[in-house]
Amino acid sequence: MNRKEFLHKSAYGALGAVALSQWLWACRKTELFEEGDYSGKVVVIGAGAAGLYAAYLLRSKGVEVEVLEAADRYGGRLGKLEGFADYPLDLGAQWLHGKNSILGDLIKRTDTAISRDNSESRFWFEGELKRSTPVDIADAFSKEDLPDVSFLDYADQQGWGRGSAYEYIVEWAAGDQGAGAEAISAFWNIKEEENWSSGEADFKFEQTFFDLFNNHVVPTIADRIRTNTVVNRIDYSGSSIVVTDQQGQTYTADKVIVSVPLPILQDGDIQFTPALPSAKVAAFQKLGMGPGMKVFLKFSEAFYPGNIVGGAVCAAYADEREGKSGSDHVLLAFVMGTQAQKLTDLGSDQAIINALLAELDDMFDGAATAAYLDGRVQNWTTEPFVRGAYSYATVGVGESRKTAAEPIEDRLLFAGEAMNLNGHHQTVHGAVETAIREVTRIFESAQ
Amino acid sequence: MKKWYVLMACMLAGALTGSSQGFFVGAGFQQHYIPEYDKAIRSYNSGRPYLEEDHALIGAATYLEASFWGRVKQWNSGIQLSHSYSRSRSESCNFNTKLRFHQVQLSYVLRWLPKPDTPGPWYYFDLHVGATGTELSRMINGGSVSVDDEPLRAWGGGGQLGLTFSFPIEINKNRSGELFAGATFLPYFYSPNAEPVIHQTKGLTSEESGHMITWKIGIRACYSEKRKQRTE
Repeated sequence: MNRKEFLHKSAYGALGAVALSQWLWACRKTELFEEGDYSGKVVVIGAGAAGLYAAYLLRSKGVEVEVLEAADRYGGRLGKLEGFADYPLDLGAQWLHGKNSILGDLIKRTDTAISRDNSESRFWFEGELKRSTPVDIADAFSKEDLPDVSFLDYADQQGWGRGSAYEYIVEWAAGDQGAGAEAISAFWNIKEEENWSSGEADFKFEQTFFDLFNNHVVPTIADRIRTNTVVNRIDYSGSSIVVTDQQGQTYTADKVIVSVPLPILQDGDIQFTPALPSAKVAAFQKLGMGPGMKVFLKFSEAFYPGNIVGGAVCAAYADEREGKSGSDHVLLAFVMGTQAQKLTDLGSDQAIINALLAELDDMFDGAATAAYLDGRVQNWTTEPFVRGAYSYATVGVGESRKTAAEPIEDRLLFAGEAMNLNGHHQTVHGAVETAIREVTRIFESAQ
Repeated sequence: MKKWYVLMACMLAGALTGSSQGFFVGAGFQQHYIPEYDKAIRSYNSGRPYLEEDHALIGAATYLEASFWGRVKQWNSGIQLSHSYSRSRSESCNFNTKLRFHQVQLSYVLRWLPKPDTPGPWYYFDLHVGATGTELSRMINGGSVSVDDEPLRAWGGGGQLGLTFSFPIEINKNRSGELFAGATFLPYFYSPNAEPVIHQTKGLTSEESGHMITWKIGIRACYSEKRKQRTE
């Protein structure tokens, strides 16, 4: 073979190598798991965002799945209020926290209308509504070198805690994390969010967050959801897992995804056989999930300037009309932690509404009561199968969230916002991420 | 960082102080294998049943290179700069998404040459030592993805070792061509923000670092003073 022949053959060989390389490349799997990769049966306990999405994923790959929901409806902490205003309202989660998430893609794919929440806030500070305060409290709790003490204790150390004009602004900062200021850790709150990647901007749905799931996730699994099914026992001692509900009906599965709200696990509503490891039970207890409620107040006019921060009864009011197509004036009282407990202790929805109106009257010289039309209380604390707002990092929580989320024998799996280890706990997309994690685990266990 | 600058200065000096010099410009096809990216893309596809089409794994890339050579005795040495571009698309109703991956490689290249009176050779082996820098970004529906008004990008990098097999083609005294095929290995490829770009999470599906292998094939044109000197 002379040089010319060699080069010719090399050129042909090169083209062949490229073609072969492309063909081999095209044969590589583009999915982590595919239909037929897992043939067992899965029971999902809880039809919140995580449970619904897990079932949706499993069903899309042809896996036999059943979703058991204790309440009489699906959605968990997603809910929709219609008829109260001339636009729908979110009873539960309503803000999409950043668009760079799996739900951001779903929203674009389904052409769901959302808009950035650009509403402005005023601070109730020293008896006046102000655009800003001398100390930026939100910024103060965003720093990475804070000590492992509660928001309130840290605020005390800085001189803007209990008894100061900032007290309820600190409460607002904690409430934004679903907690009372006396319970959430300044250090772990930031530490647990270090992997946050979805973006800081908040977005609102023209319809509701619930609609996103109801229209695009639920349809393929609607026939697999059993509501009014309160699970109280999971026996994983045998080769199959036996789930028993309050009526004594049993469901057998190869894998179980537990996606119930944290208080259900903390309060021991579900009896596990054998008992869960003590470290896991301790981790459930160490995580926080405090009281929370949303109160919708409808007015004949918008006497308020947008969002209001720092009230002693409710530290966060939000203008619900923002991002909605409608003309009704609805102010949302977003009440968390100690404030939510105090309002719950009043004993009735009307008493709660009256307390909020009194505070608004104080801020706006009686304009609230004068313009008041209607109110609706959604108290997540008293919802029997929820019992709180969302999870948060308590003082000294350490790696408890990781321990809480660990699977048992790769058969008993834990999902939901409280089990998110990627910085997106407290969010709906965080709950969905845990569904992906646990479904992946199911498929990987079969390989 | 200081050591790196010193090394680069030595490489450049070696290339420029050779007794003869040459320029190579090449183009071709490059294939990437980045396991951590693959994991994130696979999880992306599996976790989004609502997409009509899967994202392809990042693989085939267009490849361009330029190198500047000097010669010291039996060795050619030079600096080579190359760029490759790869993309991966997924098209669904209302939702077209594209990953774009750029790779820039800067290498010190060493080639052994036979004595002038030796016939041939038909091929050369080039040893590459250098560094890689990468940029990964996403587009959705034709627009670059940004988070809080900041473009979302994943930068990556690592040291690399490569071997290229080249077949020279004589054209005239000063000009020649080469067919080449080669592979590069990055034992430690650090790309901490890749998962947020690909999978929109961090710490869920893949590690911040891993390894990368690339292989390439192409053709390069060479202008070399060496040939002129040889005939003279």
